[in-house]
Amino acid sequence: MLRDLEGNSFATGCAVFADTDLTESSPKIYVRIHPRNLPAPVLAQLDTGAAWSVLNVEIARRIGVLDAQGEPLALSTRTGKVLGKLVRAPVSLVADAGESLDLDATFFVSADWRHGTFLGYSGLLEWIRFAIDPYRNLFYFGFNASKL
Amino acid sequence: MSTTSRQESTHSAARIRNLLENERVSEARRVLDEALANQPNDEELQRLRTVLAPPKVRKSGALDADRTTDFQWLAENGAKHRRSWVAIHEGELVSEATSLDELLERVSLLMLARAPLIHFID
Repeated sequence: MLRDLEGNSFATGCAVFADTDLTESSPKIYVRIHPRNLPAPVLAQLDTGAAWSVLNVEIARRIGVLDAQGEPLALSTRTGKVLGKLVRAPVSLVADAGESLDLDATFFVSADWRHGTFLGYSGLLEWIRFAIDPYRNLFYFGFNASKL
Repeated sequence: MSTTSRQESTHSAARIRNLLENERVSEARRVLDEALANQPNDEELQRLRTVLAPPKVRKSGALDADRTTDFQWLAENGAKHRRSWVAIHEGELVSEATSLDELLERVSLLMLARAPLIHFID
């Protein structure tokens, strides 16, 4: 797996990603996550420009975090302001090779968010290490234990 | 907690929420740290700390199957299934529904050898 300039482990898992976009004019990167309590993995759009990760309402309800205690927030989205809350949700970043990562991370959930699931920067991507190989459509990821 | 301390915590929490609404997360964390140093047991600040804390992370040996053919199906056929939940297994659509609950119920009846890939096509 990948190593940093000092030879330390950078990524401990990798997975093929999808980059077909069905709703927008430019391609996007979709990686697999496995929300705990869901029987199958789902696709989430990798969005480093998004402040927060967002769970589709039906996934949030199914895994029991839609009604969990959280911090109220009005999130700016492409469809306008959406009222919801920040909660901790258990998900796995799914690997094809190496090791997957189980995370208890912060997501925005809202009864009004009926669009896709996103992995955003604050609360999730900022805390892990990741790299993209667009040539082979590979998403590498790992974490720095000293940062967490 | 004294009334003054309570007011300070409430003021700090309101400021943190305002920073979060404006996506100034690093600044919100800094204000929270300062507020918690003065009011470590304040419940409102503790709730904010929960959502601003780093995730708990651990490695897992659970690996997923090769989904290349599932991605190919999505690329070739996804546009015809907008606003639907789909379950794709070994490069084929095995179920489609308008809700996730309905899709998972249908998938559970299929007795597939491995879990399908689930996606909501927006």
